[in-house]
Amino acid sequence: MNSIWAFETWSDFFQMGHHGFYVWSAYGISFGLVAALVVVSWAQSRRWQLQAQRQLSRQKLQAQHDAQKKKDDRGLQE
Amino acid sequence: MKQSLWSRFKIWFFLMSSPYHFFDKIVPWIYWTGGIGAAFMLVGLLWGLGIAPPDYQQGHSFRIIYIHVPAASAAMSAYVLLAIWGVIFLVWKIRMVDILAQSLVPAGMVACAIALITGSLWGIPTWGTAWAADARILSMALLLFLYIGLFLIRAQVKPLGRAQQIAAVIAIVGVLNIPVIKYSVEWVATLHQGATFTLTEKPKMPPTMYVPLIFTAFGTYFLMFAWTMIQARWLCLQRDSGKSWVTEKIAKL
Repeated sequence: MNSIWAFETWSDFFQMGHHGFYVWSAYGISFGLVAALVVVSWAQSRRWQLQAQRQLSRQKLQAQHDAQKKKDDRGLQE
Repeated sequence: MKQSLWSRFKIWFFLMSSPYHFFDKIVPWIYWTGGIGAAFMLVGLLWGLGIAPPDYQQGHSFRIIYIHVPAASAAMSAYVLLAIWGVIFLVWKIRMVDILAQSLVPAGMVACAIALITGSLWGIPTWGTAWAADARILSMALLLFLYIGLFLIRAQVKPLGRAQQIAAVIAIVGVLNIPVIKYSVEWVATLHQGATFTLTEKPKMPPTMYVPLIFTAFGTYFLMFAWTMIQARWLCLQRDSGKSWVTEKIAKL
């Protein structure tokens, strides 16, 4: 009896008994679609994250600016 | 006094329906299901591609089954979930359920496409054709159109409330397609073969061929769960943006 493997050589494995095109296209396209899903979703999440963080720091700066302005106004009133 | 299992479950259920609570509590689930799912997929694919013996009739092309069947199965189960969530959302207005639904749609869509494409490629050496107007294949194609519809509605329809309602209705109405996909091969003698697995009979394949299928099937389900939860966490932040808990999380990202 052979080893546990169903193929004798790597060449046999890639050829899949002359069905290689179908098997590897199927696996390849499936892998590609999943990879595309992951990459696109990750990119979308990242874009939102950067935009949210930018907005957050803008708000912080604005709040600091407003607080400083209040201090200045109070100073001027005296 | 010790809380009953049921009341503990109810508390857990209500807590998980809050995006704020869900965001943190789901994380260990993601690691576990993601890790186990990846391991199962690896074992299943290695075994299915390299160890399972060739089929007497189909030769090596049957190995496509290890992607085709889990993808089809996952696409159908996901749609059933979308329908259930659709009902819950329309009746009880639980926001979390819509967040989960929106997170699941892209993955379900991809699974459905994979099932159709791999099925088509498998059909060429097996039946001599990449396509047949057969009941199961047609209803599976319909499922893909439903998924694409859900995806576009959620992406394009404004305001959010309308998109949610339309998506929920399409999920609910479209679920009637699922039993058609499943049972069409039994009702009508068609091209696509019948089930390999039933609950009552022994499988028609030897174990060395169907065990890797169980691995890739569970692997697919686990990975799809982990992925959906990852997407759901992002969507929780987006839907609750403006609230203080989100501001805190963004600062820490």
